[in-house]
Amino acid sequence: MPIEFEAPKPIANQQFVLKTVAEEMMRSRSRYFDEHEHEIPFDYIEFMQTVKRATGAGSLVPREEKKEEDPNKPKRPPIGYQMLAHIAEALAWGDVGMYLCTPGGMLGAAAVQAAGTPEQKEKFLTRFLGEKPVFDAMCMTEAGAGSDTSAIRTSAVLDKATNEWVLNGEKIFVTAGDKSLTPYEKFDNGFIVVWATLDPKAGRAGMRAFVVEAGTPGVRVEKLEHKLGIRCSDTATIVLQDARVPFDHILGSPTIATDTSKGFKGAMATFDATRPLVAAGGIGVARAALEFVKEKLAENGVVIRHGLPRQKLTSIERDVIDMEIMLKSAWLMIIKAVWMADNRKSNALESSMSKVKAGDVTTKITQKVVEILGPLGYSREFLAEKWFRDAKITDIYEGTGQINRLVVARQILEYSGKDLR
Amino acid sequence: MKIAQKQAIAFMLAEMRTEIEASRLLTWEAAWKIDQHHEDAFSEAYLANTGATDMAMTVTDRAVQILGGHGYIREHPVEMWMRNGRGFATFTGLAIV
Repeated sequence: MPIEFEAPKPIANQQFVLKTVAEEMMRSRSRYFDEHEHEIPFDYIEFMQTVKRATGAGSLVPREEKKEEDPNKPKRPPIGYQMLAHIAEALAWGDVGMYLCTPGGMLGAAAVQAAGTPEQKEKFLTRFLGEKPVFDAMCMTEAGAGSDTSAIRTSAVLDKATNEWVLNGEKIFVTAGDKSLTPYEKFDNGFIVVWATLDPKAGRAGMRAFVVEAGTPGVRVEKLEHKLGIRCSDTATIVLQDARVPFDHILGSPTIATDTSKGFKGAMATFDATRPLVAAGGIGVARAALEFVKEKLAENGVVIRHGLPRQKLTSIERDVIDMEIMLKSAWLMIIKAVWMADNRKSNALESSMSKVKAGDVTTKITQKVVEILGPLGYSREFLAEKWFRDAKITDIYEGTGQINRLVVARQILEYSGKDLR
Repeated sequence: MKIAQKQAIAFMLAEMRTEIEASRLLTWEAAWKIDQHHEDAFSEAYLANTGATDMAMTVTDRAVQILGGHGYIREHPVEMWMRNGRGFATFTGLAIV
């Protein structure tokens, strides 16, 4: 198969629009929302909802291809996830915190998309195309269960009398948990996807995901975190106290509800799809920082001489060239991972590698940019220090750098979770 | 327990594989750009070359390190790959572009 590095036409065509949105709607107010944590960028959200209804932009869930079968038309290869990677990169270049407030299908919806039945997709995902913005969230982490997800203690018990699941537990670090659950007038009802165990003794095999609608009695947002970066994006603690959800809100086919002998691959399938997209957001931040420092260097008459041997370069030239290498190669790894997802190829290795690389390069690049800029980099007059703070989350959420190294190592060594803990 | 089952070693292997993949994709893209007579073919080739020379040293050094004494002795090829890898930084491969 020939290798193609040109972005497909539908993607190339939207780059200009994305850049305009990033510049006009996001970059201009980046500092404001950094300094006013927990304020919601309603106008960006409402604008994006309009754009989304027209184009499908911004969601972590690719739109299902319309099934108009014209035999004369050559079949186009699927590009849903690749499109999303470009959108994430371009909007995060504007402001990654604000990008995380983009309505219409983030991690909760991605879980429904990856693990739900056709009926569940219909029930939970169509709401994103309505007039009002809708949010969704994934609730995985607990105070006693971070990367070790098998330690999750939130429980799900089937009440046979009513055929409902009864959920109990406390979830922390839920991205967009507030916007998904709190009944803001400008939003329609969202949902959260809660990971809970049917049997704590079964470890990961006993874990299942449940869709919990906003407004469900017994579900409340307990607090919002104050963070190093991505301050525009809310991070919530959610308490579930005898929260009852209908039987068919368990993600996947009904048989998985009873049989805990086999594990549920839903969470991992979700991560394979979403990790490269989260990585792409980080790359957007790093590109913003690198472009900014190159612009400032050019203003000061510093030319980066590509092509010279290393020993003839200045230290700053070497730094810039190293950053260009990091940024470009990390981006290509993301494109490969999403291309595989689009073509239904198993991408657990490539997905985690792209996240390892992106976590590394976004933190390194933004740190180096602050360093090169000196006082300008450290000052709140410019955004470099903010990008440095925002970038760090790339190496933490959606699987830390360490967890992704574990996944990569298990894949290349053909080790199970037991062989390599 | 095998040494690859220790995170200190396993993480190094994961990073090596990641760096090889990163360099490979950058190299492929540069080659593709040269084929296309793309305007940044030259700088892309330069970045691919520079990145690959660094990567080759990092990865071969890690390989020697992981194998310890066995990596250092000439009975095994790993120390040779490290020496051979060192050459790339001094080649003037860019003349072909």
